[in-house]
Amino acid sequence: MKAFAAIGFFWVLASSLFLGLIVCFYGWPSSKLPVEVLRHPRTTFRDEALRAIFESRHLSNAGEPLLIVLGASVAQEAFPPNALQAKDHTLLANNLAVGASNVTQMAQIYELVAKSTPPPILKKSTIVFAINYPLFVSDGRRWSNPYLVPPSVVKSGVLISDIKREAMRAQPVLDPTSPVFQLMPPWLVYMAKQRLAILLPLAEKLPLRIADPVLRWPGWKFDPRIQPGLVAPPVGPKQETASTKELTPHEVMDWLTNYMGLPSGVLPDEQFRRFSELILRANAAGLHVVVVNLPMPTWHARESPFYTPYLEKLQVTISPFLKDGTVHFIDLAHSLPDDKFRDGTHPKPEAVELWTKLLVDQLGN
Amino acid sequence: MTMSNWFKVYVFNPVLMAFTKHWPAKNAALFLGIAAFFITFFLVGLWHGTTWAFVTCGLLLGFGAGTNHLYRTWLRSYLGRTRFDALCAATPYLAMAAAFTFTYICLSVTPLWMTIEELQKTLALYGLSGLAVAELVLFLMMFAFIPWWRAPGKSTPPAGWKLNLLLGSQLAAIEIYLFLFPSFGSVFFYEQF
Repeated sequence: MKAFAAIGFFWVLASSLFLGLIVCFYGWPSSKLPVEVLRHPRTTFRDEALRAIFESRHLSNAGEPLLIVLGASVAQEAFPPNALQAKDHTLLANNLAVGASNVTQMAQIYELVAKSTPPPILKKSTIVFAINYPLFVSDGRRWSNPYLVPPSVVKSGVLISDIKREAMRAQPVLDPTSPVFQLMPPWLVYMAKQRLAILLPLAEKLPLRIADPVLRWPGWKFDPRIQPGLVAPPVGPKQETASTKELTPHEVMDWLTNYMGLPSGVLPDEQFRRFSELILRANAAGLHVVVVNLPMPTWHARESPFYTPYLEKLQVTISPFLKDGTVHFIDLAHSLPDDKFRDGTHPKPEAVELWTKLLVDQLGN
Repeated sequence: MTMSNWFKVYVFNPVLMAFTKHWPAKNAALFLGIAAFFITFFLVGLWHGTTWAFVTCGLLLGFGAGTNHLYRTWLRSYLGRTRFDALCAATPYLAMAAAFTFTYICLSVTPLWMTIEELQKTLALYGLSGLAVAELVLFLMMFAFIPWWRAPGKSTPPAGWKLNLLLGSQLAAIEIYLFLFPSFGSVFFYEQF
């Protein structure tokens, strides 16, 4: 027992020395509210997941009731905390939506939020689940999508969300589904995250794999087997992929239809069941739960094979909560003209103010 | 009994004895030794699994062990027994031999975590020079670190607070390394069973 304690002491001592060195270079990690996961320009969903994991810890410093927005990229862009607060100064708005989330991941982010926020504050706070049909894509489709998930993960066949994958950096204390995380008191989770957050500036500057920069050096490509003239012709201009090229609104809808998978128009019960469980958990924590059906261009709602089934299943899922008054449902589906969308789902930057106004007005009601 | 001892007692020795009994000629001893080493190490590879990855691994291990036996026999006859024994006792030579063995084992187990397609892609991307340099870097790292725990007179492992300090520092290093370079979605090679 004494030996274990001594090893633990030296572990903390050695890592503290290293972390102290990093603090000397990069400074102490700042603590700020409100929390906003989205950064411009957008980089990867992986970065957003990492930010959601670490920045959720700032919620523990909240001294007043919060408004917390969860969802995917549309919720991220449409409801920035500053715009929400500009419309209503009484709100301390936070947006922890992560791009390309599904309900499974949204539930994991909720767990991060619930663990970080002090229970008395949680009981007076409001959580907004800003949803649309792509959020209900099955885990099987979403977490094996080759455009959105690293090839090695797709190949492994393991269905793992961005949040869970980033949490693998320190799985027991960062993964909201791990038993250690669930059992740990919130103050200990905060301390663990605060300690690991010191490493974040370094992690952002380092490659994903330690040897990547070395292996990228062109000198290694010299191969004595390759005779002059047998070398493959130079590659032409970089081809655009579905994930990088600018898509037209209809292409976005087609991409989403393909993203949702087959059979066309059939949404998995699994995600609706999980959404129902999520609402129950939020209710149990004392949160005021608001479900927002996000605006959708009329042509998209009319032409998408998934939109009508989504509305039908959503109605079935939330009707028990509406009956007992535990959910406040806001339907913004047809509340905006089509010219307020920059593509098939996302808001135009100049229309964000209008989107947030719609939400704030409805929340006020 | 360790696995290596088991293979020595129940595979290598009986196979070599059977070969020697069947081909008693003195000049065949070298080749019989190579064959016995090859069979033993090939079976060591197969013991881990029966897919092509393990067969390839076994073949590489068998080839390495057989070649090593050939090299040692040749070196002994070239240098003479006294000089050969002196060379084998020299720390730099021991460190180099150990580093080379580790490097070769790393190469041999490559099929366990890389498919043929991945290997082809890696070779196409980095070329033979990339592969050779990777092996060389591994060899140099091993060569640099092995003398630390193989140095004569320092074979006693640390104890007391020094051991606790070492273990604590190792845990801190592992924790920080895993945070900075997490292993995302890698496939554990025993899934190939």
